[in-house]
Amino acid sequence: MSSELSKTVITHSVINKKLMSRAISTAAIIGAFAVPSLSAQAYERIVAMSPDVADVVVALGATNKLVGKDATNTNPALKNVPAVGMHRNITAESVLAVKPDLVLGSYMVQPASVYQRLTGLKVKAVNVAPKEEVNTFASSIKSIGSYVDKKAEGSQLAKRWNAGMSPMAKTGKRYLLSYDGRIVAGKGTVGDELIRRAGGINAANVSGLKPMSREGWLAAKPDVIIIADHNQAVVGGVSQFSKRPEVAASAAGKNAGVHFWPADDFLRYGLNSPQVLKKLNAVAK
Amino acid sequence: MANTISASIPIQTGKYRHSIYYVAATVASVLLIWLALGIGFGEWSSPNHLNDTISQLRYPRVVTALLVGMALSVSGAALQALFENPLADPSLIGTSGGAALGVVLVLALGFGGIGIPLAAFTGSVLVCLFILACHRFLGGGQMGLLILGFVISAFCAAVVSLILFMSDDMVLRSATNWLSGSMAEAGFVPLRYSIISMVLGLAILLPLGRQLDGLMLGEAAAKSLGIKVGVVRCLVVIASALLTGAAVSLAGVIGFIGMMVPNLLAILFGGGRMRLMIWSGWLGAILLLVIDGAARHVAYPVDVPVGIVLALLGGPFFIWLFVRSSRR
Repeated sequence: MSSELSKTVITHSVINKKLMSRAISTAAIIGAFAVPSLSAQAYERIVAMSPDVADVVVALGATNKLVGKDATNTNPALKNVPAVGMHRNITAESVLAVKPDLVLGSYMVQPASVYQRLTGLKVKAVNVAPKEEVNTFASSIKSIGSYVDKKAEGSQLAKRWNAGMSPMAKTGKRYLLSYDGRIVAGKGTVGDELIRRAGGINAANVSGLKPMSREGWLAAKPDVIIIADHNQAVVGGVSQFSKRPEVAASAAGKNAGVHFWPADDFLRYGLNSPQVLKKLNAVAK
Repeated sequence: MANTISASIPIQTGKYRHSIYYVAATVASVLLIWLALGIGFGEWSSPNHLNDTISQLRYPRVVTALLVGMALSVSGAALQALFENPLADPSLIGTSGGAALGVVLVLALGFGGIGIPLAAFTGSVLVCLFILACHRFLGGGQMGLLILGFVISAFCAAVVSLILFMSDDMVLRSATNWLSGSMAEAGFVPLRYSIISMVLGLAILLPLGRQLDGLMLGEAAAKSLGIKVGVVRCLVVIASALLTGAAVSLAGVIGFIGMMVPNLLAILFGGGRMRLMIWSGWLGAILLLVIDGAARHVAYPVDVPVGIVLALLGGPFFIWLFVRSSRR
């Protein structure tokens, strides 16, 4: 009897420990990923672990507060800011090396557990944009504004950005946004959202970023095709790409509707997304 | 007289049986090619009246699948004999690793287009020749070649991983697509260079059937039969590199087919290595055509890399092979 009782107590204790540890992990995750509670504290040594966040910090005029960026960041204003690793594989140690008092990043930062790790090491780490969504990006601008002590500027910038992202008049044109002439931005992607807001129709009949078959391209009948410009050499530029049978047969191929744009323009949201919308709308005319 | 007649009957029957096989294979090939040409837009329709655009998309894809399947399977059949190992496949002589290294280097340096297949072919052949050179210098017989192939392939894979890790996302994604192995680029890569390389590879490999049969008995036995083991080994590796290099330049890295097809035929029919290589070429070509056609049909409009489908089939096949050989 007593042994059964002790077994029960031990089992309960194990369950409680498990629940407790689960609760702690949940709290940590919520702390790292939920929309952050903004602090009035003035941060002076900030690391921007992803390029989208760094660009906002620069736009808000707080470049002087940045003591670290990710290695893929090509923003000329951050030329002299040391890199702390690559956003897709960043470690807490390299971030800590620049002694930050605040670390900011977005969903782009991998592994996502780095936020928890930094928090565990007593460094404030905030994922200001945990999702790849229009509203999340706008709210991240406001959050960053608060953290860099530019709350008013942040709100204004977010407002301007939101206004720039307003849906435009329908053009009825069919778009294919492609990474490499094969992988297309299907439903639920940033490209899909940009096309709809630019008044167009996403001709990619797939979900997510997926390679679409050449017959799928043919059936898509695009009026406009936009490909990441770093792949221009791979697909042979506009003239070569337009000669592909499935492209040559489309309105895009016939009417000079093939364009090469920077991949970041349509693969992720950025401060220039409103300009991208205008460009997208303009190429359909 | 009676004896002569009775002796000639089995020969006649054997010839008759072989003729039936050849006719059946030809009919099956024609039928399957015709069926594959009709697959598109998520449905099947008669390929007798394809318009120009669709013909330009489907014919190169079908031809590429046939060529790649044939090259990888013939190469696999030869290498299994060379290494006396049913699990050997073209990647063992560094062709896949070399091709991947060539492509990733080219992508990282910002070149593309025709540069990719060329880099695949060059990387494949160069790494293979490097393995041969190391083997010549270090020796170690078949086992030495096997170990060198394995180690140098692993080294190439490590360099590829390092380059991908150091590169930006863009190179990473392009390379990942290519490394998955796919027929999607069929028609963009000129077939003539690959065909020349494959014909050369076959011309070297097929006459070596008897020597490979001898090698299957073991290195010592092969030497006692008067087979110049070193020369045969070198020729087989070079021919396999030509075949595999051409295949990877057309469709990227496609695994398992080179291991599966010769094993399947050896289990079902057995026979000499030359015949096995010929039939492996046929079955490999048809199998890749069927798998690619099925993937195209089921996943439309998504283009699932055929390398992934083969890897999915290869796992269970490997287990079946393992269970079968352990029951013996």
